[in-house]
Amino acid sequence: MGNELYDRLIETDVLVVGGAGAAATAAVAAARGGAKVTMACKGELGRSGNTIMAGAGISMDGVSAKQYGEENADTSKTKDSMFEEIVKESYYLSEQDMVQQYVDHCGRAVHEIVEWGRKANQIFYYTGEEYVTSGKALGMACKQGVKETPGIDVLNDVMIQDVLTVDGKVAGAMGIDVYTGEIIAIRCKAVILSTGGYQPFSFKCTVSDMTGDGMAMAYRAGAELADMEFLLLAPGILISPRVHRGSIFAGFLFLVWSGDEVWPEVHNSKGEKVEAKIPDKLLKIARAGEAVKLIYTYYWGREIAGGKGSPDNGLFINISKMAREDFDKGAANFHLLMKTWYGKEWHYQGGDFTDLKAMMEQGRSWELGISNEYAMGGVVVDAEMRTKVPGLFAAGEVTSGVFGANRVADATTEMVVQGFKAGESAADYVKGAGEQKWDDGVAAIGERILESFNRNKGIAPIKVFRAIEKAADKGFGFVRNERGLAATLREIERIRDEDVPRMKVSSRSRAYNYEWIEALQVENLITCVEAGVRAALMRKESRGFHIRSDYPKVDHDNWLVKIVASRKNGSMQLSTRKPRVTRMALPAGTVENIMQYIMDTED
Amino acid sequence: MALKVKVKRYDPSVESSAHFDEFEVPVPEGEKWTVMDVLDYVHENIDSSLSYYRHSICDRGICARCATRVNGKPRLICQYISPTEGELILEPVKENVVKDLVSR
Repeated sequence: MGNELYDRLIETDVLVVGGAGAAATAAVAAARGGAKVTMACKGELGRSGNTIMAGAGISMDGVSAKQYGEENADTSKTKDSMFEEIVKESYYLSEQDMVQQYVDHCGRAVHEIVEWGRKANQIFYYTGEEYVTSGKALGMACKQGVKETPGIDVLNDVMIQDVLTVDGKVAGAMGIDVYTGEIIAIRCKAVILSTGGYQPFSFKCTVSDMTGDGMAMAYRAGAELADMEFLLLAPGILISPRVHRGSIFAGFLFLVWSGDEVWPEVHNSKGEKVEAKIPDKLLKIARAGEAVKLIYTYYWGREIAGGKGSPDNGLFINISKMAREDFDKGAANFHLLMKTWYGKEWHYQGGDFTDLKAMMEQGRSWELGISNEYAMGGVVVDAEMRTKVPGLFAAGEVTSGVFGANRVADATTEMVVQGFKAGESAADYVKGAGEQKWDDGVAAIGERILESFNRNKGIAPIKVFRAIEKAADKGFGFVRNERGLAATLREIERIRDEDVPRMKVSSRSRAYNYEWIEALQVENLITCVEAGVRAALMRKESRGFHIRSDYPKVDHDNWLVKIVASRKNGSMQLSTRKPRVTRMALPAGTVENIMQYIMDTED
Repeated sequence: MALKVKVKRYDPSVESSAHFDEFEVPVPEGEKWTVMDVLDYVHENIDSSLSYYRHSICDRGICARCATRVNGKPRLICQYISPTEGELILEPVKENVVKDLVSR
């Protein structure tokens, strides 16, 4: 059923946008709360999103684990110790009420998704600290949970592009069916955004289209974004050969070898050992698994930014000095783990890494880079996952709040803990919400969605996408400064004002028009990057993953604030406010640099 | 030496049956480009109207949704290494063709 404004109309209570961890748990909780639920996944439920890309680990506190029957649980990992660690690791930018929500509910939420996974015949095994599994298994668990919950309609391959509000309250949403190109209108009372993060750089280790759709939609609907300058970077990502580009396999290898004393050597382009430049105390902290990504990003980043990187902006790793028996021992550990999830030796996720094994055995060096893995920032919500727009909720990586400037604890836990909560909140909201008028907002959104499709001449969306990546790579990466950020912002503004309004697709067919999808994604990505770069320029200090060479100090006196972006009169405005404090007082003073902060908090 | 890529195209909104388009792609030696990389090259440099399964993909062989017929055999093109010369014939893998290489 449709009309000239849309091709299909769907009526429901709660629309959940997303197809992985946060979306599945949100849909289940909303349905259990009595709401009629529709899920709209840009890809396919359980086989899309960053959930399936995870290594993966998912954890709860040790006391809860013991209560759920895990005899070997490390009960020294308490809710309180987790709370303290998350807040400190965030450089105190966490919204402490959201951290409390995370630790309070992690037991129940993680237990449930593990149960779903086991019912779907997936392997989750408990180490005493966490459940180890594969990203694919987590995806299957999500599918299982939705399958066994009545009252949820799943729309796969539907990209939602905008939330419709009437009198400032949610009235619905609109998007497109990727396969047919039909414009879909959804009339609903509540929308839960569980769309994941944004990845602006050219070197990614995530799914193909982390374009911040939910963040941009929320922004356009009147919600706030915060902490957009904090992007989690993962060092140790494969750069070449091309088939392996973006794979986290090498990082996984390190993890397996970390049981032994021998570590691979990392060299810069001058042949200097990079580890020799890292203080012992930090090396110890990194090897214990705490803050490892930030520590290596900091030191590796300095080499690369200082012109001593490999041709593809990475560093060189070589294990030729490792003793043969240590290599074999590591490989044996590795095979055991790999066989559990991937069947064949030297296979990881879907890839065949026997070529890498051969390179290592020949003593050859290979390139590793720093890649964007996760976004700490995103949509501002309270501990009930409500945004400031009535009827609009958000859960998982799309939100800001739990992790502040740096994430060490599990995002897999975040997605389920917040997904369940968002679903409960949305179901409650729907009970009290009346009928919403369905008005001209539909026409405006529909027109906007069709703009790039209807344009006769202009610029290819992929070119605009590449221009955004290039600008982000140049000045918004792992070492930032005033000049670089300002130049990147000017370029982002130019792209926004000159290129984005000229995007056009070359095919007249609506069916699987990927260029059209790219154009919609570009519109979302540019908003997220603009918010991130503006905040990075404003924040004159270093904190967590915001590393500024011109302001290396961590400045609690002036910058222990969240930078919030919102739309006023059509343009982006920034404001600041203190993080929400419940139990841990905010520190004062300054710290020499972000590494000193880590060493101090270890004491 | 470039690779000759022959792609089965079909746009149900304008034609009644499929045809083949041919593209020349300079696949570099020794870099292990995948068939997905080859199609990305075509999309970005030659013909952006070509449809192939590209949205929400893992690019790592995990989600298994990029299956395409490569020289007659179904492959996950995000992991399948492309030849650097000769011919590469690409066709949709399922009966119901939505557009070009996308089928369901």
